[in-house]
Amino acid sequence: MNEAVAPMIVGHRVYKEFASKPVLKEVSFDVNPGEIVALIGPSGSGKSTLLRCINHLEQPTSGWVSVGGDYIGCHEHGTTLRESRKSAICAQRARIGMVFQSFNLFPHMTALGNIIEGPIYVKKEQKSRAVAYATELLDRVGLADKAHRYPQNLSGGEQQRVAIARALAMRPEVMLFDEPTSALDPELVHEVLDVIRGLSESGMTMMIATHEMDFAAEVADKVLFMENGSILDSGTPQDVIVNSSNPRTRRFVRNMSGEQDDISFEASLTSATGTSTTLPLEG
Amino acid sequence: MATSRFALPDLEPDQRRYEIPHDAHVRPRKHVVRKIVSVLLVIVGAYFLISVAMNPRFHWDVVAEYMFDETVLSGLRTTLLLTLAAAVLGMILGTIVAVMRLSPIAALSTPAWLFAVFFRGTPELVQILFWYNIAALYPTIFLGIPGVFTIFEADANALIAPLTAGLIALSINEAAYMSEIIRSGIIGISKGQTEAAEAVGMPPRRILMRIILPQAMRTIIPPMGNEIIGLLKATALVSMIAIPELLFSTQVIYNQNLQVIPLLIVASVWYLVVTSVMSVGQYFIERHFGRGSSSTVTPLRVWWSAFTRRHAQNTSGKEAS
Repeated sequence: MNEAVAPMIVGHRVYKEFASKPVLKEVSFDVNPGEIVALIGPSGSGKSTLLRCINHLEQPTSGWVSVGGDYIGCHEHGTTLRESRKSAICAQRARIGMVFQSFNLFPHMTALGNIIEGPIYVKKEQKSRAVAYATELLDRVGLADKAHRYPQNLSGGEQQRVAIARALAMRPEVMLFDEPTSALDPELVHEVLDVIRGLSESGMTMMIATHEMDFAAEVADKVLFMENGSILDSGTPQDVIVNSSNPRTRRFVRNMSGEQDDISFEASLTSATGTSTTLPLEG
Repeated sequence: MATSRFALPDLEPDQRRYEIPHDAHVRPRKHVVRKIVSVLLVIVGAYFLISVAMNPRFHWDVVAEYMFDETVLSGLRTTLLLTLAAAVLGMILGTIVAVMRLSPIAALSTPAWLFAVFFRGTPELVQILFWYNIAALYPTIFLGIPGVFTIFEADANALIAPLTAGLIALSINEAAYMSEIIRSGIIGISKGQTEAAEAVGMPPRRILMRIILPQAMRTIIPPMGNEIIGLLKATALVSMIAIPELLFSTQVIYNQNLQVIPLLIVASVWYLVVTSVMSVGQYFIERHFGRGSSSTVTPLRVWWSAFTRRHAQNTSGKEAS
């Protein structure tokens, strides 16, 4: 990567705790424009919280995040950072697309209605223009014929693709994916991954929390391995997923990709944590 | 291998299979008892209706005479007007109170909570009499949350008018109940909906109006329908402060001609007509807000399907494309 380029996303010692239990422990990272970063790691490692801090769905307890050079949720005041107004935060969020694990489509609106809601009411776009772009996006995610369906009448994979189109309709600078395929039937996973893959070729800056190791290895420019609220390992897919020098990362990747038979999975959990907290076999 | 207690130990699997004819289809139950009870109920109902219709002491002729009497119709208009105004004011105030109650700011949630406690905790009739006599306590009346918003402000002379007192009492009482209904509806919407709207950059008020409330309506409408029907009937209470609504109008007439029962029947019929129309309206509103889910099965439909041997169908506006 070119050293002179200003990073698109910066996290600086992001610390977050819930009820005095730390879930992010002073995590620092940066993402260059057009770069695709995969976040991998076990459930509860802080991947989601990290993404949610970037668009201020969670406010970091300390530390800060910036996107496109703007501090998220705060602004400079002399030498300190101050919490911003709600309206300023809303404007920042409009520039950051987010896709959730559970889709979170608005069930009382059609697929098209879901997509044009933001452009019309947040960006004050003309309805005809918003509809035109939404139709184009639906076509891009392969759902041109389902614009007038309600979410209830779409499959999980279709719902998630609509959710991606909804995020893209705001013409964001950055896209965040929070385990976009974790709630899907295995045979629907590929259709969502295909859309994200297509997006990766368009030069969009993306951060993707995922359990799909092969996909992460294929698409990502950089991989961050998180555990217990810290980034344990980072580097190219080659360095982290294919051949990590960190034994913990290697074990995680081995368990996630391919041979997920129960015995090796259990064994790795017990050996990883070093305790018998996983399965209460001995009563 | 342990044998299950549900297994049939006496039969080999092959034998068991031959017990059942290959062309078997499941014959539906005949529900003999159900049919007998239904027929009995129809007979009892018919008998009751005939006895009511034939009993001369009901004075159906007097009922018919006063059904469309000018005084009665004007009372009905007042009742409808009071119901409509109190429902609208109650809904607006109730929504505000519900949103305040859900605020993380204690200075907003506490007064909202006290509002509901006070106005749900005292009898409606007492509140009506209280507002009617309020001029004795305060020269000017201010309704709303001082400094935050004003719904109504006037001097006491204006409030002495019974109609205003009645309207305020009904609206505020209604708002207290509505706020709880709306609050429960809002709570029922998943956090993910708010987050998805926030992620698009929608401001809080827009999220409430476009995302949360339209979805909450689905659970809010049925209890709210009950509430408004209850409100219509509660307007009869303001006859106590001499507002010429439906009940009071009929009272005026039967105080002159002493036909108490027939005129109470006139009032009841009109109340029933209006509440029935409201129920029909509620059905259509429910169907509108039920887009993308839920079904509505009315007793009428169950009876119909019993006669036509069809199952009650899900008829919500599912494919509203």
